[in-house]
Amino acid sequence: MSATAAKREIKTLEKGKKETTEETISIKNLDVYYGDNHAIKDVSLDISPYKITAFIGPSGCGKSTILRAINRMNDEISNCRMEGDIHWRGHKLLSDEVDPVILREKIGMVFQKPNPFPKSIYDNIAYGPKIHGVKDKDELDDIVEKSLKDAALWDEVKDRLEKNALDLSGGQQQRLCIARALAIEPEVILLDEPCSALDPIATSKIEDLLEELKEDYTVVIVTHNMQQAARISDYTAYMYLGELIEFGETEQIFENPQKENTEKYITGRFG
Amino acid sequence: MVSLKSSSQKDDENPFQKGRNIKEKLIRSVLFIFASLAVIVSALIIFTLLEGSFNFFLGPEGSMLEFFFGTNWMPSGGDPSFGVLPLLMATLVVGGGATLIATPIGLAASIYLAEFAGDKVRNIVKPLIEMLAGIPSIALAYFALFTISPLFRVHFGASYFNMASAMIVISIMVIPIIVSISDDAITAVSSELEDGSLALGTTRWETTKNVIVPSASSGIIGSVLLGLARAVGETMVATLVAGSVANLTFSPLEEGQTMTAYMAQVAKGDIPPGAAIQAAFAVGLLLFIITYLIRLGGELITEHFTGGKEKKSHPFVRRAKERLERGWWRVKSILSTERDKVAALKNRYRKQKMGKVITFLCMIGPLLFLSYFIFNILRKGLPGMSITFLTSYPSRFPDKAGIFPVIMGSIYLISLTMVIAVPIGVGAAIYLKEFAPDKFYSRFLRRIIHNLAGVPSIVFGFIGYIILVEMFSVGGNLLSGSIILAFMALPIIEVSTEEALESVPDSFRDAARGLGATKWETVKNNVLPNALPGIMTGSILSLSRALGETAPILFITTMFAKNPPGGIFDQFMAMPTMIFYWTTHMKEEFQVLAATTIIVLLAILLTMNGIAIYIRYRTQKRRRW
Amino acid sequence: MRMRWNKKLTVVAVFGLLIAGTLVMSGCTGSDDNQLNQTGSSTVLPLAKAWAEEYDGAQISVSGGGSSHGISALLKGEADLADASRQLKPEDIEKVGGDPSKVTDNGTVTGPIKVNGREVEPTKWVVAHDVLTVVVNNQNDWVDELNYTQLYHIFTTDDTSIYWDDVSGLDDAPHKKIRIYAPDEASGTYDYFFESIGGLDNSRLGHDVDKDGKKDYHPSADDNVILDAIKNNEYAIGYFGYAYYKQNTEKVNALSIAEEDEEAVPPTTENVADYPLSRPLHIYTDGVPEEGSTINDYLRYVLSEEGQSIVPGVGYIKVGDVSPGLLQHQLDRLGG
Ligand SMILES: Nc1ncnc2c1ncn2[C@@H]1O[C@H](COP(=O)(O)OP(=O)(O)OP(=O)(O)O)[C@@H](O)[C@H]1O
Ligand SMILES: [Mg+2]
Repeated sequence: MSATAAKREIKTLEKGKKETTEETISIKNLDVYYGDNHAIKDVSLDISPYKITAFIGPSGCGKSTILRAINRMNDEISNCRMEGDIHWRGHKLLSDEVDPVILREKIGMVFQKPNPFPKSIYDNIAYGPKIHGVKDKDELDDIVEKSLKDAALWDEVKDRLEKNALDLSGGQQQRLCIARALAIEPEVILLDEPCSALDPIATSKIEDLLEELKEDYTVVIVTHNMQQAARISDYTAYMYLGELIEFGETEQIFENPQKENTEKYITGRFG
Repeated sequence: MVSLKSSSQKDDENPFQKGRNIKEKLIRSVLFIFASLAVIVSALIIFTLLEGSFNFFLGPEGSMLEFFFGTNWMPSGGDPSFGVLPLLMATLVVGGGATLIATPIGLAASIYLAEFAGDKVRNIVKPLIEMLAGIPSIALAYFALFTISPLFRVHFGASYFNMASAMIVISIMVIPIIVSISDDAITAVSSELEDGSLALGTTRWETTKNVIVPSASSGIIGSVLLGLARAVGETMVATLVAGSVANLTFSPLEEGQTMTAYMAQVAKGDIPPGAAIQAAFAVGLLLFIITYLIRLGGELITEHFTGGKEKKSHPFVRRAKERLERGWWRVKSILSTERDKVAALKNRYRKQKMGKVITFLCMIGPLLFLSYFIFNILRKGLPGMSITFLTSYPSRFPDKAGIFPVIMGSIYLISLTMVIAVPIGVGAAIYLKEFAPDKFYSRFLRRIIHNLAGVPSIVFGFIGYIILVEMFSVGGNLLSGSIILAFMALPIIEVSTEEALESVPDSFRDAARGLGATKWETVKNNVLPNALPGIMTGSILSLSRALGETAPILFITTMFAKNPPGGIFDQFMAMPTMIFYWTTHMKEEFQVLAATTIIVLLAILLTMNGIAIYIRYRTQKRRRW
Repeated sequence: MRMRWNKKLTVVAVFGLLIAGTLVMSGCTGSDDNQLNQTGSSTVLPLAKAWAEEYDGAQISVSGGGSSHGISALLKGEADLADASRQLKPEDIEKVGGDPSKVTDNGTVTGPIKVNGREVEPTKWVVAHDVLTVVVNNQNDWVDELNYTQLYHIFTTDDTSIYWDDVSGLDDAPHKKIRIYAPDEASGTYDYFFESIGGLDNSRLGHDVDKDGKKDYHPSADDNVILDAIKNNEYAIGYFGYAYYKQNTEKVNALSIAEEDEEAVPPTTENVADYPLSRPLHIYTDGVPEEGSTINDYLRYVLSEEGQSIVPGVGYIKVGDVSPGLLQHQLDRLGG
């Protein structure tokens, strides 16, 4: 992408909270193809700011694909093609005008499998800020501390920041990855099954964390755990075979689903 | 297939009689012996080197003190001295220098291949780089002597023989090793790690530089060490280009004799007998140990540190580093008053672009070298190509000279090598993959076979000559030549056969065993046929490598005969050694013929490789499992 | 299944053919008496190759490896003919476990020697003469002859001559450093040169001598290097075999050589009997080969007019040009 385009993006993607309607991520008629595989079929929905939106649905229905569309991670898959649009702050995120590198700085992502870099805990957190231009060591120290605190990991690791991140437990690693995503001060956080590799205690820690995070961030989470979705999310989207079947407030989806398909899924009668 | 009759015929006996076990046991023992041959060969090599070295050190001229600390290597003359340092130094300058050149280029090329090149580029470039690895060293040595070396002489005032040109050309041999192993290591880094970094808003270049390459570092270091071992063991280029005068010098523009070059000098007979030849054992032993340790280091690093963990530095070092860093950033932030993000981003993209361009150039560089090499050899050698050249013997008159008996010598040699190496290599692999019960012994065997692949070819040649010709009086003939080459080709055949067997799914074996077939019957009828293409590909590739080897048969080949050999006990000529002799011939016309011979050799190698690639391609297309 | 079987058959057939082929090949060996193995000195090698090429009476395969290698191969029965640029020495016999006292001063033995339980009687044949040529740059106009004393001063560190005008008798030469390009210590030529001019072992130019770098000395194993350097350096001097000079007569000047006070002799084929830096080249056989045997025929060819006529072309000197008597004597021994 050209430098002028980058400049334009940065001007408008300024920090600070604007009107909430501007902040809404609205997905419009999204289609995603992997080669011939039509993975997302004409999906439209609005993701509300400073809320937790959960995506649920059977395996392979396209939850991860939607998440990867929002921060353009799908660009990294060579045979992946996207149609339709995603609006956020007056930008068409899927257009060529938007530089995915800048976009991802604003929309962070946490993956299903904890993937800390084989570096020290400190360097894992400092990695993003360093690349985005924070060079002052004291400033970095502050960022590392704040992010780890936000991710509720600080107390556990503050004495061993120089230790290799791979020595942490799975739950700690996942919180480290969340801290790593927070360190670049994004405005939206996408989490793709962040708890699937974790035990119940670690899971509840992360759930608590997400509750706190929504004060400052728009949170989107994919989960296979129905209770989890019901517990923490404000809105729930149920997907099936690449289509959005039902979307609404979590309470309504779980207590009064409109579609039979949805009801079957959440009551565990299939999938 | 399984004979059901045999068991029903003996119904009056124990129906569970172990009837077929005798044949089975026999086959199993034969396979076991094949697998264990590598141990015997390795033991012989080590024993011979040790014994020769002992004789040298205990002899009147040899002294351990002088050998390791003397600064003078003068094996002949009235008052010989045997200080190995000059040889070591030249080995270091040539081998180390070559690796130093090859490492950044190879690494950059593999980064481009793995991270930036599309599938199309990869599919073209990777085979080309493999091709570069397949060029016989004697052909590259020719190129180095007549094309690279003059450049150094004219532009840098280097001496006629100089280590610099050897360094350059050997680095070209090392690059493919680094590229292929580093590429594997880089592509093996999990895409999750890559995603993790990209999702933080980093460019691909930043991700590659900061996350992927560090994570692949153990594989990369391993590849560099394997490359170094190769460079240190390289003989022909060092002999022809770096010179044969032991000089204790660091300057690559000067002449220097490497350890391998000294052994080659012994092979050529330019060394008076006595202590000077005994010294070759000590040099060979040292070379053997050095390359072994380098390879071992490389393997240990690749095997044991695949976690990609960072090494921990001493707290003091870390604190000092941190303090330095803090100071540096402070200076930097004062200097850069504008911390304009746009400018920063522009800069980051510029870096990515530069990185891409540089790594691309590093990938293209070796390919340009390859094409220039081929162009050059064709231009020099094609004028010498004619029917006469292909049908007559190597006359002393250049216009009448040809290589018919030489080509035939090479073909007989390689056929005999195949007859020896393929059954042993395949048998060893079958034993290890299908039969080996004892885990420790089979691991040990695998290790030994693996190590055999790392023995420098000149050491193989020297020890092979000592054992086969001097000890067992087999004579300097086709048989001993092909035995030496067979044991050099063996490891690759064994490894590729094991891989081929590995690729046959276990369900095939279970199905046959379930029907009551013995292990051998299963292997013979259900496993081998399916693994055959893989075995053939591996065998052809390793034999083509053997065909281009010069150093191991330098001690054995003849320099003139009118006719091809008539039997396995006849002396013979071979293409690589003929190229060597003609390259060093004083008449320029023969240097042209050397190039023409190179063309013929390359054509044969290309055909063999083509066949191997065709077989691989066809089976990949047909494979259904 | 059918395809598979065919493929298997092909592989088996290929292997079978190969093995059969090799067996047949090995079967042939015994029957071929017309084969000779000749190995040894790399000085003799070009000559041996030329004879092997021209001679039609037998299949001769020729290889190098050095005089010592050749002689030991002959003693062990691995070679029929051993090329040697020097005479047989007692050490050669000692090395293979024979009785060294049987070796005479002129490089023959007094009787058969037992090696590995087999008798062998190394017998010497002089087949040509090798001549060393001392050469200088074409622009060198201050020297066209040198005697052994002068060579000794130039090529050893004893009584050093560093500049051209240091050399005794060359007072009018320019005051320029002598740049020496010569074969290195590993070569037979080096040994022979210093044996001739009488360089003491510890003063002959070599790597360990002249460490202070007083002399401008560049040893090389490659005659091409020496020639190239001398051609390009006005103040250079060096030496190599006449065979090599013969191929490059216009590029450098050859000097006439005098042994001490005698008359200086230029290196030409005609002068070889008088030229000091010349040595005989030998072929050793096991005993005097029987008349009618392949080896006998071959040796007779080598010493015949036809065989000897090849010698100058390779760059060496015919035996008859040096001592016609010896040639005749050897032919007589062969029963010719
Ligand atoms: N890299 C890819 N290449 C090709 N097809 C892909 C790729 N990633 C996903 N798909 C396909 O796209 C569809 C949706 O996949 P996606 O990963 O979004 O499912 P998911 O809902 O996240 O499933 P899960 O719950 O198992 O994670 C599936 O059919 C899958 O096979
Ligand atoms: Mg998923």
